[in-house]
Order: sequence, then structure tokens, then C-alpha cells
Amino acid sequence: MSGEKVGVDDFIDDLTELARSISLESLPLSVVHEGRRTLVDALAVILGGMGEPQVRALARQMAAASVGPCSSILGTGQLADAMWAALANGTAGVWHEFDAGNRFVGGHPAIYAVTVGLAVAEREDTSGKRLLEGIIAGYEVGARVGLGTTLRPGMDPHGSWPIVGAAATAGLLMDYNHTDLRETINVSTSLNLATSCKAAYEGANIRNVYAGFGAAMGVFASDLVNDGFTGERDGISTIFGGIAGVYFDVDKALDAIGQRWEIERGYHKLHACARCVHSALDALIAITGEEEILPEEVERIEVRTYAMAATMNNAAPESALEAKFSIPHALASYLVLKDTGIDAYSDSAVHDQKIRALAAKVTVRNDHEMNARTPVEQPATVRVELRDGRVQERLVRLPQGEFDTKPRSDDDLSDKFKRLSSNVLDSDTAATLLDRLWHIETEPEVRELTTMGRGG
Amino acid sequence: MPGHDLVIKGENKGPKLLSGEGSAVGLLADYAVAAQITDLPPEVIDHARRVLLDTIGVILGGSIAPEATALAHRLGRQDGGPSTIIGHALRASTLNAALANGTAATWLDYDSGHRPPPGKPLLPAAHPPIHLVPAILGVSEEMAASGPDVLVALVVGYEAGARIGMASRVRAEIHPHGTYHNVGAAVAAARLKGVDRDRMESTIGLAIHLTLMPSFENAYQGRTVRNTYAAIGATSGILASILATANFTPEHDAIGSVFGGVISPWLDPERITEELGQRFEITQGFIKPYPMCRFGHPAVEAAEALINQYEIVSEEIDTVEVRTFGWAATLDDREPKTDLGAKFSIPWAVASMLVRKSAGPDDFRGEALADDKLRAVAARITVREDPSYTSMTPSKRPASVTVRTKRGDTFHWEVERSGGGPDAPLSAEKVQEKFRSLADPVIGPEQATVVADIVANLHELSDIRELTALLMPPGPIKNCRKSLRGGK
Repeated sequence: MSGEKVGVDDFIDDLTELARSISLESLPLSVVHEGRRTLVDALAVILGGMGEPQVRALARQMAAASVGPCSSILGTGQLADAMWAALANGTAGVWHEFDAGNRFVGGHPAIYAVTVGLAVAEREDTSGKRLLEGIIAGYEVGARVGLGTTLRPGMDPHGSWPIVGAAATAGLLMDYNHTDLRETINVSTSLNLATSCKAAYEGANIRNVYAGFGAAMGVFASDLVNDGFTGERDGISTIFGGIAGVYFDVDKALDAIGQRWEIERGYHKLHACARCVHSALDALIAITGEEEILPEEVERIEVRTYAMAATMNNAAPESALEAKFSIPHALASYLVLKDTGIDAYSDSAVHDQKIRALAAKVTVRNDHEMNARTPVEQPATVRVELRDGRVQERLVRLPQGEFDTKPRSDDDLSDKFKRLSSNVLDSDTAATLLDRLWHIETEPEVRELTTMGRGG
Repeated sequence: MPGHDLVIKGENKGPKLLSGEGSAVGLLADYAVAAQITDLPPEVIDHARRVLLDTIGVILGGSIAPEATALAHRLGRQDGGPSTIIGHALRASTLNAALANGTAATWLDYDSGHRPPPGKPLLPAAHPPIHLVPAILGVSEEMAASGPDVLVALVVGYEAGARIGMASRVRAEIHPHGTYHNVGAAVAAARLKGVDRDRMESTIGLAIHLTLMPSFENAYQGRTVRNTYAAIGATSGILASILATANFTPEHDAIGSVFGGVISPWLDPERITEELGQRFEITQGFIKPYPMCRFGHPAVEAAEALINQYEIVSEEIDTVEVRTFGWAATLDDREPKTDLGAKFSIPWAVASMLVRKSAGPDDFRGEALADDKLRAVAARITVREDPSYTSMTPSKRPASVTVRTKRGDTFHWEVERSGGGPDAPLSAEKVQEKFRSLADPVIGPEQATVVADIVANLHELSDIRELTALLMPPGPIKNCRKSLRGGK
């Protein structure tokens, strides 16, 4: 394969060219900084997920499955093949439904870019600067494929189009030329999973493996190209315009490319639950900011929200993952525990009788007028009726943490990192690692950081 | 892209819980843990041994392709784990070995397939063994399983994948490799690991969630990522068995969501359990006599009959007309550009038979691809659909080849259905001959002879590693360690 750009000159060339042209020197400073924030946030949720017994069991199996282990499974003290490290880290990263997302794209490109970026950067011994560029570029490619894709009904985006961003990050960290990076993108498309979105609603934790598997296939796609494998000319249109997707909108995918950066339009979460739950939760939090609401005083809570959020109406979840997709649980858990982090969705929270009784008093309704305003807005109204007849109502148009509402501060993200890493890293290591992550572009070797993040 | 004749008329049975005791998946799980070697009729065991030998042969034959070799060296080490990377002096974990062996297994397009029994619509055949055998061999090495263990795993895994395939209708633009037979690989792996019934059911559900949705387009364009689909399916099958042990959970009705919605518009659960344990899909399999897309086989067989019957001088060929059924008529590329593209080209295969008097692995790669004589004849071949042939499918899959020479002679031959399937099985000698042609160049004739003997008596083998030890090239093991580092 020659290194020259071939004369196809289609939108995949545009995406490839954009990804390869990204450098910290030429990006707006705000984009670079959002890249750092994305890295810190993703590492936080990966370390948080690694505290879970099932993830740790999977991590042990992935380490055992590896033949040339040189990529860290974070927080476990173990190394694995880059592909299997990505599988474990990616699964951990989405475990708590706490990872960053993008409402325009309708998915989570960040966890793929960071998971794959860390695993491949460590293997390839690249610098922090290259990693950061690879993360920003992989996010952009993944997000733009997501923007253009209308998935088939019933599918979960995890394990689907984000795989293309994962592959782009891997290919960039392998220093691929235009031809090989384009090939990597096309190879990756057919490695997408036939995902089902019901898994999340039911709390079937295979949902978390969709992300891990997608990240692993991103690494695999890039490695396949290195081995000489080839992909079809336009796998994005074939797969996301006909097989996994019903329609691929190239114009939407390329809209303002190189000018608008999707990573800057994302959100960071401070509640460990599905994004569609957040507007309602923020509305309730606002109400309690004005007046203390005791769980036993609540007569009923009525939520009106947009269609996608209104599906999250399960009042009796049976597992932690299921609870993260339940507005009734989220509201009840907040009122009882005064917490919206991981502990608010733990197995013990799920089976807390006080929370369950309160969740049963929550009704969730679809509001068509609100739905028409998505994705620019993601509205929810929460109306709390108390036994003594008092009523509190609050509308939230967009949840906190969006770039265009109240973005999370760097300190918020640092706190999140410290909290989530505490189960698997000692506090000194976590603090040092965090500090160096905020200056990732000055690190000559990513390996030093992943070694710290690996723990022992 | 075919599709015009693919309107599937099926009744959508609507959502239905398909898991749990007494459900379709539940019964499949019951069967997968309960089946014993003594329950299997002799002809089923015989089919299983043939399929195993044939698949080992195509893995060996495919293992030497440059890309498959590069992949093997990236995934394996001399001492890399319990499982053999076949054709190389390399070992790996079960997952890595399945990736390497599954890719090699697909490479030549020479692997055996399965077609639903007559009466079902004609669709691209599915290929259970390239998913099953790479998963089974690796896991059976890890478990030090016996020959009978392997035979039972192969049969129950075959049933699981084939029955889900027949019960659903995966959309035509999706390549079947990496889809439902990954569930078969999972069942086989879990069976070898000796899991209980509930774990078997969750393994099935988890594997369903790891089903790929790959494109057929890669095959038409001759792009080699297509050769990894089944390998990923074998690997995701093993991964599902690992996840089940780590207490991962699938949806309650995973099969309904995925095979009754996302990847296939409908699912008929009764077809999963119909005559389970009595009717064996492995007996419906075919073994390929030519290393190319199965739909092209009748045309190639007709060309082979012509050269055996008549003296046809390739320089004197003026035109060749191939008439065949609809699906096969799409394989009409006269100028394939890659090895894989040639395997999806009837003009190429027929030309090779007429010019080189063979259509074996070497005729679809390397020097053959640059053979001007072959290219010149391929350019004179037209492939047309004959509606009367199409109407005879699926029970017959006919093709005719008419060669007209520059001197005005006409030679014509018609084949109703190609050999290798249940209606016209390859002879035992042909199967052996094919195996030896693939195995001898890689592991040498002595080892190949022993491998064939062991497989023929597999029911008596106490440890599968006696077999797999022979699937590496003879001689001292070289240290094949290579850098994992990529970059170009």
C-alpha cells in the first residue's frame, strides 16, 4: 500500500483527512482542554467500574487470554493484549452509566476514544500529546458517524457506530497514513454488533460488554490493517446506511466539519444514571434546594418529559443497571439517600424498601410538546405533591453538565476522579495521576501514566 | 447485490418470551447439556468426523495465506497458551487461537456449509464448522477433552446455530458469517466446559448479544475483513461462555430482540426445537469440491464435465455462456481483482476449469490471478439467469455451460445440482483427497496421514491434544516471536 491519498475523494476521505490533520498546535485551545476533560472523566469512570466484582472477573479472564500483554487493565494491576485490555476497560467505563456523552450524537463516543487510546498508546509507546490528539480525533470521527446514522429501532448505540471512532483512534496511534487509516475505518464497520437496547432497560449487564467489545473491535480493525487485511470502499454507507442503520445522512455527518468540534458539544455527568433521567433529577434537586422534602411527606410525584426519557418509567427495578434507566428510582433514591452517585444505584439502594415505596409513587408521562424540542432541549417537569397539600413544580430544559447549560467545572471532574478511583487506587497515586492527566500533552510516555493507573 | 427475489414471506409471530424453562432457548439449553455420544446415530457421528476433518484441512490450507500468517504471529507465541494456532508453531489463549484459526478456516472459501432442508427459501448457505471447529479445538485443548467430548460439542453446537438460522431470516445484505453460528460456538464451548443447564442458557443469550452484523458487500468487493467474521463469531462464542461464568446476564428474551427484530425481521421459535435430538442438521451439510462461493459450483461442475468429455482447446474458445439460477447469476464479475473476488466469480472459476483444467486453491490466488490466458477466457464468459432454473430452486440449483469454439463447434453440459451436498455427497476418497491436498503442504504427508486416522477414530481418542499436536508444521519449533508493535 502506498502512503499517498487515493483518488476516491468521498466523505470517508474527508473524515480520514480531518482525523489525520488534528494536532494540538492547530486546534482551538478550548477543544484541547475539552480533550483533557474527556480523558480525566473517562479514566474516572473506568476506575470506578473496576471496583465491581463482575468486571474484575472479566479483567482476570482478559489478562489470562493475552499472549503479549503490554496494555494496562486499569485499577487491577494486570496487563493484557491491547484488544483485551480495551474490552475490560471499555466494559468498566460504562458500568456505572456515568460516562460522558453527546446529545446531538445520541451516544457516548468518549469512552471508546479513551479506552482504545490508552491501550494502544501504551503498546505503541506514544507520547501524551499523540494520545490527546488521538482521543480528540477518534471522538470526532465516531461522533460524526453517529450524527449521520439513524439506527434501526431497538438498537443500542453502544457497540455500534462508536466502533468507527475507536478504530480511528487506534489507527492514528499506529501512525497510519491516509490509505491505511481509511482502510481501518472501512474494516471496522463490519465488526459492529447487532445490539439490543432492551438490555439496559432490563438491567442485563451484557449491555456494558457492547462497549467493551466495540472498543476491542476498534483495536482489532486497526491491527488487521497492519496485517494486510482490507475493507470495502464505503463500509459506513453499507453498514450504517442499510444494515445497522436505516439511513446515513452524509451532509449531517460532515456539517461544519473542521469548524465545529463535537467533543465541545458533549456533556459530563455528575449523576450515575442514564442521561435521559437527568433533567427530571435536576428538577427535583432544584426543588429540594428551596425546600426540604422528606420522603415520608410525599403523596405523589408526577414527571412529564420527552419521549425517550418517558420510556424510563420502570418503578420497580431489580438490578443496579436497570435502576439507572428508571426515573422513579432515581428520584426516590435521591430523596432517601441525598445522593445521585454510584451508591444511589447500588444493589442495596435498589432493594431499599423505603426507596421502592417512594418510587412507586412516581409517574412518568410522555409530553409531545417537550419531545418536539429535542435534542436542543431535553425538558422535564417534576411536580411533587406533599401530604399536607403543598405542591412544588419545576421545569428543567436541559440537564446540568451540558456545554450550553452549566458545564461541569474542572474541579467537579477532579472530584469525580478522586471519588471513583478510591476503590482501586490509593489516594496518593490517584492524586499524582490526576495532576499529570491534566497536563497530558507534556508527558513523553503515556506508559508511565497507565502504569500508575494500573495500580497493583 | 442480490435481493430482488428475496422478499421473505413469513408470519410475524409477535413478541413472545423465548427464554426460560420450556421455551425455545430453554429447551435448546436442556438438550445441549444432556446430549450424550451414545444418543447420536452412527451417520451423525460419521458426518461430524467428516466435517471436522474437512475443516481442519481448510484451516491448514488457509493458514499459509500472508494475512492469516501475519494475524497468527500477532495473536500467538511459541508458548502463548493452551490452544494451537493451526498450521503454525504457535500457541495462544482460546480466544486468540479462535481468531487466528477461524480466519484461516474461511480464507479459501473451501469450507463446508449447511443449507436448510428442501422447502425453505434459497439463501446463502451458512457455514457452521468455521465457527464451531476453531472454538471447539481451542477449548477442548484447554479442557483436555476426549474425542467423544469433541464430537458431542460439534453436534450440539451445530444444532444450536443451524436451528436459530433456520428459525430466523437474517436480512439478505448481512453476511451470515459471524451471526447465528457464533451461538453454536458458544454452546459447544460451554458444553466442553461442562456448565450446568442454567449457565448454558445464559451462555446462549450472551452469545446472541455478541452477534455481528457484517456486510455481504465485503465479499462482493473481495475485501478480506470478510474472512474474519466467522473467526470473531468463534471468539465471541467462547467469550460468551467466559462471561456466563463471570455472572454476566443477557436480556430475558435476547433471541427475540436480536433474531426477531434487529438482525432478522421474524423468528419462528418452533423451528428451533422441532425434532431436536432426532433430526440432525449436520447431516444436511455439504462439503465443497471447489474453493469458491457455493452458488457457483454447478457451473464449475458442468465445465469440469465438459473438459472430461471433450477435447477443448482454450485458445479456440470463442464464447462461453453460463445459464444458472438467480442467486448464482449475480456472481458474474469477469475481471476479479483479488483472490476473494475470484471466489465470487463464475467466469473466473469456469475459465480456470477450461484453461487450467482445475479449480483448486491455487487457481484463485497468486500467479493464477495474473494468468493472461485465464483472464482472456474469463472475459469471453457471460453469466445469465435462467428463470426456469430459478424456479427449480431450492430443491435443484441448476447451471448449464455452453462453449462455442472459433471453428464453430458447440459443447454443452447441464448440471442439476452440485456435488457435495446431502443429495450427492462427496465420496470418502474425495474427502480424503481434498484433505490431503490442503494438509500435506503444511504439515507434511506423514502427519497428515496420522491426523486423518485419528479423526476417523475420534470416538476412541482420550485426549484431543494428541490430535492438535499434529496440526503444527513438523520439525523443531521455531521461536516465532514477533513484535506486537504496529506502525507502518
